[in-house]
Amino acid sequence: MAQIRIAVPCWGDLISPVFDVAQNLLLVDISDGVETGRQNLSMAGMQVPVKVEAIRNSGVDAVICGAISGMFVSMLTSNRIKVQPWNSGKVDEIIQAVLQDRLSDPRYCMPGCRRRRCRWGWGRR
Amino acid sequence: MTKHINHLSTILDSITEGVFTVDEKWRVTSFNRAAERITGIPRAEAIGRPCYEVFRASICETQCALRETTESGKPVVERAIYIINSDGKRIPISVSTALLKDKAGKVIGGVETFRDLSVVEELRKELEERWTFEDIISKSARIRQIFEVLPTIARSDTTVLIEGESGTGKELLARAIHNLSSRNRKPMVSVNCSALPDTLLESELFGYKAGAFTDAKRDKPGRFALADGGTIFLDEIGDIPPAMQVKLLRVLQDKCYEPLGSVEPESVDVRVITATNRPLAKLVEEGSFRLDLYYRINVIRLEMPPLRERREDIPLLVDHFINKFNKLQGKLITGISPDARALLMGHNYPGNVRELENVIEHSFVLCKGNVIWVEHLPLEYRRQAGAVHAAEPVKPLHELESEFIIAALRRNNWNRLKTAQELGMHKTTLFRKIKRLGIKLPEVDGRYKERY
Repeated sequence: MAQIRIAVPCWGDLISPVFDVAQNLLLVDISDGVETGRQNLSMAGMQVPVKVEAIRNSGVDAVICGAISGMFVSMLTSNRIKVQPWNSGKVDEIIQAVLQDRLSDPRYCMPGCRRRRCRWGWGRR
Repeated sequence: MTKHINHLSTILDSITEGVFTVDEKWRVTSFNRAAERITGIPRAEAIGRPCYEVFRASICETQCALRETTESGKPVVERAIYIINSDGKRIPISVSTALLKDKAGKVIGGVETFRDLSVVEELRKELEERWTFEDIISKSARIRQIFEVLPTIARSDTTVLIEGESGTGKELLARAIHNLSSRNRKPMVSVNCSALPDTLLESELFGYKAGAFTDAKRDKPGRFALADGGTIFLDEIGDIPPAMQVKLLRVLQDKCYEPLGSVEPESVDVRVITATNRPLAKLVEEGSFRLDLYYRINVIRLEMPPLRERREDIPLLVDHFINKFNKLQGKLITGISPDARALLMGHNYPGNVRELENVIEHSFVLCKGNVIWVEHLPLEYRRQAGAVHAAEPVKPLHELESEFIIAALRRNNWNRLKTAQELGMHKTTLFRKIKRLGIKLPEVDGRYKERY
């Protein structure tokens, strides 16, 4: 049974616009395409290296986020965590899109996001 | 009306600052050409989208400048932040905000203007590179003199003694010599002689053979063996015991030593760089340091001046450490307030550059914004400033300046050139200040003394 844990930075009911400064992370467990659990991880006041460590220690396989700096992407991917950036919209809709494998739909893309970045590619382990 | 909008659009596109406007629902209504360039987002994609999806600034989530302006009615001016552009790069910018109102004075949106600070950042880096040699940053005349002779010293392969207070960067200087030498492909091994007990120092430096003492089950190479072909840096050399001084002298003279428990001498090809924060000449006079060893290690002597004698380096070092901790901690602190900078400039730094680095690291922990203020500095710095302010009556600026210059002149034996160098100003500027402030100079000064 394929089980993964994804992390989505939250700002209210929206995905955080900038992952580098996101305060809260929603951890979602997915098993065979079905959501099996959720929990929150606070990242308030954490510096980038501490955030990376907290994400790694939480067993996250992939991060679905909005804008993110290249530096942060490198640190996550070097810890074997996939990164799919440049997403926007409501967190629940994003999670549904992940479950239904339609996250590449343009409606979830941030402005200025080129198609290639909206796929599981940038930051592939 | 259409003509008016076209004119406005042309004007906005002609300026170098990024400008965008939003309506009351935070959706982008206009986006000029500079904004496209700085963010990497085409105008067509930006219009109609929520501003936080387009601007992607470090403050969107917690300290939105436009929201602050909407709530307070006051504009935000030149706030230093960063945005993430479409290439995933952090772009340092300064942002200003204002409200848009209709004829009746009702708020109908806002405008944000922002300036790309990358160029400023590049210039800062260039300036730092200009004053950087290997990993040492300084524009002090005394250190620049060392920089000039360092390549020659590095090539010479002779023993070097580096003197200087703790925290002045003696190990950095030793590493620079190693990096510039022909031995740079081999290791540089550092040993702090005062950190090891006397009984351990010998086995650490020279190693031991199996059976030399209880639990010595196999041979262990010493630091000299590890540095073979390279450089060994012996820090706090003034602290080594007399017995070790003799053994060290032998390595320097004969290029061989005997590991603990061995009867066969082992030869080694290593360059020795030593450092001390104690006056070795005085230790020789007192009899606690061997004269012959002193002569052996004192072939070339370099002196790292304490930070209080090269205050012109403080702003450079502050900027360097801010940049360093920004990278390490993923922050974007853009600078230090004038008050805090003045406090740092006035401090005496018994711990030298290391102390300054610690102060900046301390400030980074407390600083949640983009600028280090006085309250982010350690308590003793603030107390010191408070004590000075409370104890002394306020003096006129020219009087303070006069006292400051006289103190610097005294420190430099009234040599005006050296004083100007210490104060980080040109000698003609110092002459002009001396004349304007009416400072009386003694007839015989440092220059004459040097000529005798």
